[in-house]
Amino acid sequence: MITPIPPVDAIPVPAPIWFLKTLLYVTFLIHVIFMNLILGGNLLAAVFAFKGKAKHLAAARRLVVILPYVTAFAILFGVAPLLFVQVLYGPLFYTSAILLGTPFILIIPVLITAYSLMYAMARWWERLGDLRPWLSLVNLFLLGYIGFVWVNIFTLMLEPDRFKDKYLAHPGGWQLNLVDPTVLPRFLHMFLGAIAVTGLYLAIRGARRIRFEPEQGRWQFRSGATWFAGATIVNMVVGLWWLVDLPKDEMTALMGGNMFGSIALGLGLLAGLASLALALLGINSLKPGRYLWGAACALVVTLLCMIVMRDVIRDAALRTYYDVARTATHPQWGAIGLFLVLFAAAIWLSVFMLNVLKKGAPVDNGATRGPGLTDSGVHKASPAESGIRKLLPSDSGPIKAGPSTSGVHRLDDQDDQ
Amino acid sequence: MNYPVWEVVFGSRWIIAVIGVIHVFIAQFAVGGGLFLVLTEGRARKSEDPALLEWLKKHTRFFTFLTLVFGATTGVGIWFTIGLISPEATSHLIHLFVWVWAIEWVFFLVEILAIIVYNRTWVSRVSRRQHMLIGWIYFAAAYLSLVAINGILAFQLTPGRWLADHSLLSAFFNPSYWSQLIVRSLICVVLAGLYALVTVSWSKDRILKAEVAKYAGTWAWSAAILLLPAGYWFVRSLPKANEDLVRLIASVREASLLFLGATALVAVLVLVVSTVWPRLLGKPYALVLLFMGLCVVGSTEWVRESVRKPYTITDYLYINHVAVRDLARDRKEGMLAASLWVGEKTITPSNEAAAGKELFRIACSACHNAVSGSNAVAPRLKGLDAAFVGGLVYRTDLMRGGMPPFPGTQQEAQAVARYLLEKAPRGGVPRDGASVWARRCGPCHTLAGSFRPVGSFFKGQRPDDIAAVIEAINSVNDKMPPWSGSQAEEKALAKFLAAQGGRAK
Repeated sequence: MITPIPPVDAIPVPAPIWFLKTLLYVTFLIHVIFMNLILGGNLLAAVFAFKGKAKHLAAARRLVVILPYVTAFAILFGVAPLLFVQVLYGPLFYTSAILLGTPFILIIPVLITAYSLMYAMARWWERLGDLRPWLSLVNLFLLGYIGFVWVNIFTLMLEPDRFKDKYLAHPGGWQLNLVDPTVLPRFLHMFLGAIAVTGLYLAIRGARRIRFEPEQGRWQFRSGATWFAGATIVNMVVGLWWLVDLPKDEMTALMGGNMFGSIALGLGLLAGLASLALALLGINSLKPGRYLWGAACALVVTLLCMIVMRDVIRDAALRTYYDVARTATHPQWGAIGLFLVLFAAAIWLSVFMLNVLKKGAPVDNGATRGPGLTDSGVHKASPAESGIRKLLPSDSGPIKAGPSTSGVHRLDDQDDQ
Repeated sequence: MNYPVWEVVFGSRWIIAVIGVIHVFIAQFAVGGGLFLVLTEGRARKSEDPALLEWLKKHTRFFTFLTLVFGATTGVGIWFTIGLISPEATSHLIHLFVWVWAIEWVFFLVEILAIIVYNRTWVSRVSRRQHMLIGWIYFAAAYLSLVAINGILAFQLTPGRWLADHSLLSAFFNPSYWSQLIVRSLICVVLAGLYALVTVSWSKDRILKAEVAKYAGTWAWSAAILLLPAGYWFVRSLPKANEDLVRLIASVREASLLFLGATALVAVLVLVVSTVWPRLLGKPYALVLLFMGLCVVGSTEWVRESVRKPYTITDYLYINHVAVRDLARDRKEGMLAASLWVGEKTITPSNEAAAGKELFRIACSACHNAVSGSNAVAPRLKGLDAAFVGGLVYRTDLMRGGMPPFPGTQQEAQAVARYLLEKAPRGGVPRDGASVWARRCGPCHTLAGSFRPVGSFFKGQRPDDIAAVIEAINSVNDKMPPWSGSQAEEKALAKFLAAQGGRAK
């Protein structure tokens, strides 16, 4: 019988499989967090903009202004797992992508449109008025399309037996995988996860603002935590739906059949419940920060577990066709070493640059201009005239000196000290 | 043949051409523009030129938007496209170069963060020195990402010693690595100058415009002038087989001429606005310059892709995704046996055209449409018969155009011919000797040109002798398909060739 999938390359995989899988998990985890913030950010921004009260609009704006940056990092951290999944599962991934070639390639113009729109919204938010919620919804739709195509590719990839008939029926690449019962719960699970992640992000930022704007901060953190808790509770039901829709072999792998899968399922469930409990405790606490950070840590553990489970399901589904663990490897240790050294240097440089960014919060208005601005001297008269507001979307609010702790969302956090 | 072929109505190669050229056009600006930003900032700070600084800030904003929103996304687009269109080659390249790509990704990470920080800290507590340091970090990361990707692109064209030793170092530092790096670096500088001319053309400040026209113009014209010898060096650095393609294939020659013309025009037009007539620099002029820049980038990529013919990875993988090592097997056992993605597994008289369609998709559709569009095959077959077309299909590697060998059996070539002739236009064709020559001999010969000239072969021969040779042409040389034209065509052709022989020196 002819193997229903393309043969593995003659050139061996240039690293141990476990190493590539670790990189796949870690980079995909980071991608998922950023991607969730874009998807959830647009949804919540739309909801808040529809509600339209000042507090809603302030929260919506807080989300909208970070989205261009979050998108840049979502793309960056999307490229890496895409690279590793091609090394590990090339024959299946390419074939599945070709079967969905047309919707797949349309992701690019859709992404460019959404990204441009997010830039425009961040920059002209105040001027957009009643268009705001609708534009956010357009974005949500565009980004949802991207997620939906990916879910189709990654589920179809697990069923090589269907490849040939699907291809011959339509070689033009319009083969969505809609007959697969796991597509919908898988997509919804991701979508609800995006709402949860964004809710928690909003809650943490609200909590940090309580000291400066008690009312807005408190409302925002409660609203964010509620969105998080609500989405997480519904998501547990959807997760169950996904689980029962999985083919038996794949479900078994998560329930004792595969050690990693079973641990990931158990730990993921526990961590999910822990994050929910912590967020709920936080809602009624006077000092919610600790609870929310705890919830965030638990959520990251949950996400990591989900990613491991996803991988275990993939290997269980493909077991009879493609055993990635047995792929021939011939590690290029020199290149791997160089990559690791450069990666470490890049982390160090990134920390340095983020510190520079923290130090150099953009000037927002003349009234809050602090001493020691060392612009070239062009703007001595008034920084308000500098046009720097136009440079890139930035959050409003007074500029405050002082340290900050977080990573990338620091881009916009100068008002949170 | 291992992967299904994504069938795109207008030809999948156009998708890769459009996304690829747009990406390179922005990505090379992202590299050269980074150097431009930081050097110009230093210049503006030193001369305390407020107008220049103010413009530079706006230019940075434009730069950030363009490189992030269009540069990064089209880069992902290239990943998508090559996976869809050349999965076999992509898979091989990824297995060989995954760590080079991972390293490029690390530079990409630094690049993105650096440009955001640089853009956000123009007016801030950050010292000038530190701001410029961020600018330098950006440029270093951007350039190093070019250094990394250049190795992979050059490898596809000239894998060199890797074919024997399979070492990553040989693959990366391959024979055309340095010449390609120099060409790309110079294009980066040209684009940095051109984009600067575009954004400054929006300014109403005449003095600033003249200043930038002179300064940024110098970047563009000097690099464009250097690009001409660099382009020549690139072609000379290629193995002779690739270099010959520039001479022998019309489309490669056209691409090379476009490169020369566009580059020279950029140099001249920029020199004019930079030195003689700065007031000429308005939006239309700047946009024309930018378009010429796009032509430079497009033609460079076009030349690079075309001189690689008939391979995706030279001497390793053909452009129709057939591995060189599998060719003999495929020609013996056939594509239908080897491919996983065909419905017809055997050819019978009733399914010949249907099988031919599937075979065409596998063997030819990487570069050709069947019926319409550019490079469509069927319209060129008017007036030809199945035996002759089948003979040609089976000998694609001998034809003009740098095509790969047909990776199937004679019977399969015949099926492709049947399918194409069903789609070919009907109606009469001219039967005079020159037309017959063009139809039946032109695909593989020139009369007196550089590609297998045969004019002098017939010197002093009578039409009847030539007709006898034509009749038995396949026995004279089995690389040629048997004569299958009519008696009248044979006579006309013989007469025509006799006349040509008379003219030959």
